[in-house]
Amino acid sequence: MKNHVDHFVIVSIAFIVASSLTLGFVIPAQSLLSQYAIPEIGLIFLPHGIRVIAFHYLGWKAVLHMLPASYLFWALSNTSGSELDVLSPIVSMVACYIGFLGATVVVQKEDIGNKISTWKYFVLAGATSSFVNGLALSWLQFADTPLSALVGYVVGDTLGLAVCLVVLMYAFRLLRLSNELN
Amino acid sequence: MQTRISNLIDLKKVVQQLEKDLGLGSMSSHEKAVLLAISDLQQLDGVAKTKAILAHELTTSISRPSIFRALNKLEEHGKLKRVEGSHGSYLTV
Repeated sequence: MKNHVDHFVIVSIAFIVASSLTLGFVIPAQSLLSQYAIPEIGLIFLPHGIRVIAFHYLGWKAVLHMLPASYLFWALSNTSGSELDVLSPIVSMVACYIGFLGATVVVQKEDIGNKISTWKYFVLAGATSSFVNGLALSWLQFADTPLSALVGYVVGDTLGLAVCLVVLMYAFRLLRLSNELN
Repeated sequence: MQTRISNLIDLKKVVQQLEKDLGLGSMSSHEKAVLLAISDLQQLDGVAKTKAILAHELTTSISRPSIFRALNKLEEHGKLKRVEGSHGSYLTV
């Protein structure tokens, strides 16, 4: 039980930090740079990185762990001018998990896992889950599936995952350097 | 607790692999000091001899075994090479 609470706290904090950065920095910056940018789609969607890493380590339970933080992001987004559907956090989380699971099954079945590094598998699974997420959200959010929205979701999610991995890389590096200095 | 630590270790390994694949793997402080010393000696004398590396001001605070370990690591990573026909001489790559 304690483990679940710990996982919930860690995942929620990471998801809220990533969401805050996306909401407070990425979305305003993209609106500033292009008048055609859709406020519902972050072109560097950092929480996707947290989703993929959480799915990998916690499995389906990560869906439940991330739902409250996801709804917080939904509420904050709608307060700041987006018009996200009330079901979008659940649909997005489940769609992402289905996509992630699909990629994992293929990687295991084809024995790709031994041929590529884990971070490449993360990117592959992240892109697949983002594609399924894009399909589901475009259908929910825009009534049909406009290609621009789908591409936006896939690009945003995959870039968000890549940025997340790079941030983690520098965080571990900083930790290593501070240990060396002490 | 155990799961959390093993997950963190695994994540660290994933990120280290990414760092390596991107060519951003960092050298240890000893390796950096030895490489800088070799580069300095190479500019002065053309090659860096082991004796001079051990006596260099950048490496005096490092133990002999650590310097030799750093030399092996740097050679493994292709940062320096031994000069053929001359025992214990190195050049940066």
